[in-house]
Amino acid sequence: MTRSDGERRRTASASRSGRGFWIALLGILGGLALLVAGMLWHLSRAPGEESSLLAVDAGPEELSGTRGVVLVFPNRDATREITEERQLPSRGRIDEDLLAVVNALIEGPSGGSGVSALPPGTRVLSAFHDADSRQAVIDFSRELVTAHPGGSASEQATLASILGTIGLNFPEIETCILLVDGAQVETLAGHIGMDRPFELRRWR
Amino acid sequence: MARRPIDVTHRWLAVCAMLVALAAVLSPAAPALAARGEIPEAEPRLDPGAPQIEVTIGFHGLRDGFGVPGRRLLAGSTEVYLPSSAMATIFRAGRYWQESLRRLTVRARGNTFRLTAGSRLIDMDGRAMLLRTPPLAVDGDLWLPVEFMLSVMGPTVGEMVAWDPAERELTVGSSEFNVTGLRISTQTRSTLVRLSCTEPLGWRADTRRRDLIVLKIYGGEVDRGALTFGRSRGLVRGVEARQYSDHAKVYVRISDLVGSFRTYSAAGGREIVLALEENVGGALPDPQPHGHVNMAASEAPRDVTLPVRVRTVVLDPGHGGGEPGRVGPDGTLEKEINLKVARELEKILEKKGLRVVLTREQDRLIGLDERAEAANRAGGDIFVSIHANGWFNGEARGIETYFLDPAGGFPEGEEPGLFLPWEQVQERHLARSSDLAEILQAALVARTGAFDRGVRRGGYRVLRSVDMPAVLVEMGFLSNRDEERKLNDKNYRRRLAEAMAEALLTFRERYEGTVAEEEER
Repeated sequence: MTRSDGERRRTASASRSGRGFWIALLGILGGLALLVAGMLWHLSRAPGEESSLLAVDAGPEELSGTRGVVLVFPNRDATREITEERQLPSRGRIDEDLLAVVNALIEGPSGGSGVSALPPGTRVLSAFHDADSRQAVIDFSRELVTAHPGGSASEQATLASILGTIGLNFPEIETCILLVDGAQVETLAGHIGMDRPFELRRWR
Repeated sequence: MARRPIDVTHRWLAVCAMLVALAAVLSPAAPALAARGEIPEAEPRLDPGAPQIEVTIGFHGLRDGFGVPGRRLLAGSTEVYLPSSAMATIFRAGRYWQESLRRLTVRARGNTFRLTAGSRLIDMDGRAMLLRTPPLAVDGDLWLPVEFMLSVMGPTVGEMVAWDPAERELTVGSSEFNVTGLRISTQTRSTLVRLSCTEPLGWRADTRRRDLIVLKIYGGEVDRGALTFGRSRGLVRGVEARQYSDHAKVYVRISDLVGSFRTYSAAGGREIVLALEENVGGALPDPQPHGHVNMAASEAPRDVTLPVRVRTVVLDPGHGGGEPGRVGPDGTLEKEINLKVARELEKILEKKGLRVVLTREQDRLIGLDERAEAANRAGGDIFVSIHANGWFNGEARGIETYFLDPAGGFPEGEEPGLFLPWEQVQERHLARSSDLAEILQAALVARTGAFDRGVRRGGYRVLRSVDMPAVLVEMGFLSNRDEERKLNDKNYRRRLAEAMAEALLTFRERYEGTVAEEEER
């Protein structure tokens, strides 16, 4: 009884010490994995690979960033353009910034001297850019066409506001395609052809 | 004895925990360690009470100047600082300020700079550069020394930047000019004025006065300094240039000995040449028709060889059917006004012996390409698309006339061959289209007294495939109650139609010249 008790205790303590070793090994491996992951994470963001503005600043503190942008609006009686500088929250990702900028255009100018050139009710469904072709694609809800006031002046102004603003703030983008509900449209209100990408340098 | 293995286990666990903790601490610190070069230096002596001084920003030729607040922020230094928000506006740069990191990232022309408050070191796309004075964080923005504008931003955006400390003026001269130089050369009886352009540009030459030739350069951004010539040389009595929002004008004052002139493009479209010829034989022949237009895209202007005759006018009443166009506040439908004016104009032109074709005679919807096709099939010589305008509120007013802006027409580096693609056909008529637009706009404004919104360019789908001089007229704003009322008035519509008829006949006379005279005889 006594012997078998002693044996059992030895066996138990031996198995306990074996389990401890495996836990320790797992711990070390886990620690090493974390260390390697941390370094890889840093290396993956080496300067050469930054495709978007400020990718280097990604991280928890990124939320505190703002981006100063210049917005283009028409004035109230369609005789000239006005610009307004605004600070928008930004994490430094171009696609998100594009979305934010176009949303600011929909919202309209803060002073009373201009108007929003996007029809009421218009939403941006998505905005993205392709770094290789330097092309942006902005997809609007159907209100861009259905709620458009019509007439050359307003149609020109809508395009000038969107394309002028993108041209001014995103030098990395050269051309822009505007979609309505995910598809190309012939025109917004019967005038300007929308079937080709717009060259932004002509709208800056 | 029996407790030993448990002790060992505890020790192992402790080691693990330490390793895990170490790894956790090291992994976020890795970038910080790697980026040791960016660690800010000791905070320089900031003078937070430095008063604001007004700094003037001036632009050569292109944009209006403005004032920005500057401050001498660094104690013991005369360096003037400007907020990064002003820098972004001046250089049209993108910026990203992270208050928590006290770091500003500037993006301009594809370059990225990182600046840290208090540090003289700038990271320029991985290259380091040292400023004499550090940027400073004040009032939630990073303030940048003027030195940064001169030595970093200027070269980056390709603009000459100059600082006048006495006047506290920062001058930015853009090298984005596309009309950059002037050369005047004289020969025995002629003088050549050559304007160098960085890209082929369209222009129009006008002689409203005998002593002045005005070259209107569409899309021109003119270096006024380089294009000013204050003396006489040959037949030239002086040259001046002015910049407008979408065009530039070059004024060439000429001697009264000039008998004729012509303009053409040279150097692959990169030169606009004005050739002045001395009058031979005493009597002064009219140098050229009142306006001479050219849209240069290649050495041989594409439209000069096209025969000119005006027999058939195609009128295109905009919209129709299920697409009413703009609807006025009192319910006026644009499609109806367009058709009514077109009908009125048709009557007047037919009386003058012209053949008139309408792209739609009823209230039905026709596609934009179909309209162009119909105009070409009818063998039209002039195409006028008739529209009424609209705006987001009731405040816009006036008349405007458009011709095609062929934006994105030719793929980069590709010149058109003998055969133009269907959607580029209008491009060879642009010179005459712009002239037609000017004549129409002037006549409409003169007859109606409406606000003159001028001649503009736009990427009109209906115009681009029309194989004849083509314009689009916006006769007034249906969104404006006053103009809606006018457009509903039959007499006002007749005046519009008469003005357009008069303009079309002027255009015909200008281009047919002697042919028209013979017919009248």
